[in-house]
Amino acid sequence: MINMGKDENLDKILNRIDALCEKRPSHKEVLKFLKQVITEQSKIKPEIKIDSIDINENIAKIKCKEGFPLVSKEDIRFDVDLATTLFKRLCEILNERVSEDIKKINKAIDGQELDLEELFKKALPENGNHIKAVAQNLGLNQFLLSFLAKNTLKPFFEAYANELKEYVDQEHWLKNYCPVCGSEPFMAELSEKEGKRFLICSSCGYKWRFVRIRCPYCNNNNHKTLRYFYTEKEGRAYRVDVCDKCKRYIKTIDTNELGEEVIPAIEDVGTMYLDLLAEKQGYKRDEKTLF
Amino acid sequence: MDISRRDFLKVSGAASVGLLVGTFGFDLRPISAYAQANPPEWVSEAFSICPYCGCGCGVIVGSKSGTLTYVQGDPDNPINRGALCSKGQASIQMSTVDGKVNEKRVTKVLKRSAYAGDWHEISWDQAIDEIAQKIKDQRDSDLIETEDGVTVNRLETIAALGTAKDTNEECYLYIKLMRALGVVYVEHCARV
Repeated sequence: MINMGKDENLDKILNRIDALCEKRPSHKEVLKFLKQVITEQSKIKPEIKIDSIDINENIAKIKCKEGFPLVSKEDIRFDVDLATTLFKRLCEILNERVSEDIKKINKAIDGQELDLEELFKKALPENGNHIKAVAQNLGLNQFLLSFLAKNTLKPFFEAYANELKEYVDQEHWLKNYCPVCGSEPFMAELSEKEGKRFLICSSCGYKWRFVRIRCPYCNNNNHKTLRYFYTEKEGRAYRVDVCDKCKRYIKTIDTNELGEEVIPAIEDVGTMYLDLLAEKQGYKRDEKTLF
Repeated sequence: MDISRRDFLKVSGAASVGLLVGTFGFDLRPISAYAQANPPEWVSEAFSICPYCGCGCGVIVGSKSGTLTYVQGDPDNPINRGALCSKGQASIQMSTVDGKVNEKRVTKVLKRSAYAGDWHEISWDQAIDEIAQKIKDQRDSDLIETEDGVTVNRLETIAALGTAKDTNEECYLYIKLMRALGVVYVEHCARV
């Protein structure tokens, strides 16, 4: 688990962001932005309460065997007031950057044109059309709205994943979607001394085991159409695995090389140069897995 | 400023990162400059099986423009779960030694005739024909057809040694061939 935003970890997270800013000053601006977002998310973490989840070991076992995630994201309940608080705080952060859009959002909330509860419920990538419709209706940037909704819900999803992780059978899942919530991974990790590969969920941050040579998006396992690149200067701590079949890529952190307990969300933003390199080579990243 | 950033995106062709930049107005130029200073080094990986002992450990082989650069245990292989013995770890030397192709690697069939000192190259067809002929000669001369009046068709002068790396189907063919010949000394290398 990444435990991103857990209060006792916040210092560690912020220190890592500062260290990356120093190591790669080119990424300072985005990392500083991430720092603000994570700080706000962590402020509401202690207040998140999780409703009892209707699951037991037997159901979990069957779901794992049949390839169903433990919960469907629609079933995740969250405190709308708390989520609204976070949403507004995130808006404040963004105000320095996109004040026009934030003004529109605030106006829409006050004028009851924007129903935040509904936005949160339909904020999942699977309901992309809702966000699109709302954004068009209010004349907003669609990605901005989905960014706000996604990052508002993130601490809630993470809290659920933390609660449910004991029900997952790591050794037998090995699928390309999250065993807790069913989302796509946004990053991968090679860890432990054997170099086991783990994928990290783009919604709830859960980390699960996956096969070393296989595309985590299209399941292609032909090694002739899979390869990766790293950069000489940064060494093998970061690599980008690409699939020539679906033309998508995933960034991978080698924890044996990096030598520390990594927080993927930070490393992701701190290695944006790799995204540029991958895209220049003709590979894509779905926006669902972004930020 | 906005226009130059947008132009910059066009040049770098970034789509997803471009979304972030386009939405939040980050300055992409320092990141792009950093990317340009770090050209990608491409590596291919493939699964393979260690050729040495009978265990048949799974390995991942990495190569850079056709030359092997590393061999490591396959963490997903149920036999070794990512571990390799020292010999397995050094198995890359069959192909590559100190980054250069190993010239001593045997890539063709070599034959050393009886009482001869050196090896000479022969074709696969010739090798298979010669081995088949030797097996036939051996069987023709040594097959025990009956013992105490009972038909046994036993061939005791040939022994067979299998490997743990064979698949079920290969093992089936192997045992079928040996039994058809009458070979009774059928063994497996893990017990040797």
